[in-house]
Amino acid sequence: MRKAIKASFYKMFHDRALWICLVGTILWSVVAAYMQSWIADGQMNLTDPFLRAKYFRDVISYHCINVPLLTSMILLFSAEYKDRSWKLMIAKGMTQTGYYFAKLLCNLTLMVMISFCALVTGAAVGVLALGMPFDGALAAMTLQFFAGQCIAHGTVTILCFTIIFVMKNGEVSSCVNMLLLILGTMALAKMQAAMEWGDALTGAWAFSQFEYVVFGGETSWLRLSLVFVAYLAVCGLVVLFAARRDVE
Amino acid sequence: MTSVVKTVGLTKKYRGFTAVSEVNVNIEKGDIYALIGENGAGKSTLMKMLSGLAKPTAGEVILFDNKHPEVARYRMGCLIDSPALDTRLTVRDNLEMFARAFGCDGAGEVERILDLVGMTKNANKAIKKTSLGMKQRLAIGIALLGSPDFLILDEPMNGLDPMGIQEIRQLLIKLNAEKKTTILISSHLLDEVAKVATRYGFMKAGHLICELSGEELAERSRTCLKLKVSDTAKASMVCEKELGTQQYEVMDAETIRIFDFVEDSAKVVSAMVKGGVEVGEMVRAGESLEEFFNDLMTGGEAR
Repeated sequence: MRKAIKASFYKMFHDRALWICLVGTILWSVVAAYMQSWIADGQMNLTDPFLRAKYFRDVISYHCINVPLLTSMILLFSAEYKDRSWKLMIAKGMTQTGYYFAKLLCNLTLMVMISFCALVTGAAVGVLALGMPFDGALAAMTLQFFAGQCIAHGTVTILCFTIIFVMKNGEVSSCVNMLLLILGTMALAKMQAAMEWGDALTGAWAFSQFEYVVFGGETSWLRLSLVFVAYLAVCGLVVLFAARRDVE
Repeated sequence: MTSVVKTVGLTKKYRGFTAVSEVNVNIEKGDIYALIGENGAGKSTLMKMLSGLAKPTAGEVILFDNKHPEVARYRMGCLIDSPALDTRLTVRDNLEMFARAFGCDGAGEVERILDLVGMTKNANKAIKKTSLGMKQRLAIGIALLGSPDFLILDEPMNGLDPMGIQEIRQLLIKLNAEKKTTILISSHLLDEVAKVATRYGFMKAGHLICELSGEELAERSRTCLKLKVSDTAKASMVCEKELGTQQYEVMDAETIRIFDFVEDSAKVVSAMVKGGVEVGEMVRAGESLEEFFNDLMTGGEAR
């Protein structure tokens, strides 16, 4: 598995997708930060904890940061099933589960790296250009958003990668994942509203959980962490079962 | 001899369809074993089972005398089906990535492979911009990373130009001669296979129906006169006393093969008649690998 991780990192750093995501994330962080300032006509008080949370929430935008990043990860991972390059690693004695977890670990690292860049850029723009005070509260909030983002995004990455691993079809699994990312939360929210289930469905969806983390000062680390562990456990079992199939 | 691959009753079934049926094959160190058969005969499935890409329904694979093949697979290099390359990377990056994955990313390994498969000039070319032949060379290069002891090559000549085929053939012969690399190769280019293989296995409908050594095939390929005679004992006497040759072989009660006088069949017939042997039929024979294969596939008798 160590070798697979090494190979995955090499591939990741030699693929343009990573650098495009990184540049895109930083650009978005800058744009999102300035947009808030324009909307508030320069009157935004970034010392207020609620507004500061809102500011970071917009910097870490689901549709502008998470979806493009996940899309790149999905395309990178599923491409190995499309071009069948993954079977060479299996033929060299690597286990299918080892391969899956190596890829997952590599992409979680990438996600941590990009989330960190987005938040640090957002904080820097806030401090340097928008008058956000540089104090302990800012550091704590940046850290809180960073941890929340990592757990929430990591959970969805596990789900997306499991779908790819189980389907073993680059094109179809990418389409399923795209639909899930774009329409998943919407469909779940509609369904739970129609059935009057409260937040039973979206509550288990990582990004809905992310809303609870720090927004408005409310923290739900336990719930978010439980969702992460549950995804990891269920997906891990599915992967163990799916790994018994042939590599065709 | 050390056994590199041994299979015992290896079987693979897909939803009731038997792709490989109870194959027992033993490939020894230094062999270049050619697996020959029609499309759908089970060659690729057999190779996939050896390389761990398909799990056998029944039977056993023993690699390097190790009953746990997954442990021994790091000593193998594979090219199965079409070249499996990352199309987003360059030629060099593909090799670098796989070298890391295989744990052989030491200094100079990638350059050595690039040189070995003649891809040094195209090392920085994106895979998308390479021809099928170049992809095939690179795929062979990936299989050779880390100098494996056993190579599985499924149709390695596909897409290569005549010069490329010649280079790959020479490379395989060199690897086998210098490093005693054992090679399992399948190809439909029978003439090419015949130039490198030392042993042959013929597959039909999932069964390994015949195995031949290089010497046995060469023996079959010798041009000769095949005679149907009334008495093979008398015919043998004629060969030795009248024709003065020992280059003959009695095949069965009424068939004899004579390897001399192939260009002078009249002399043979005349000697036979003079010696009181009735000649019912005489043909000039000698099978190439292709002829032998065709004969086998159309139901001819295998030795």
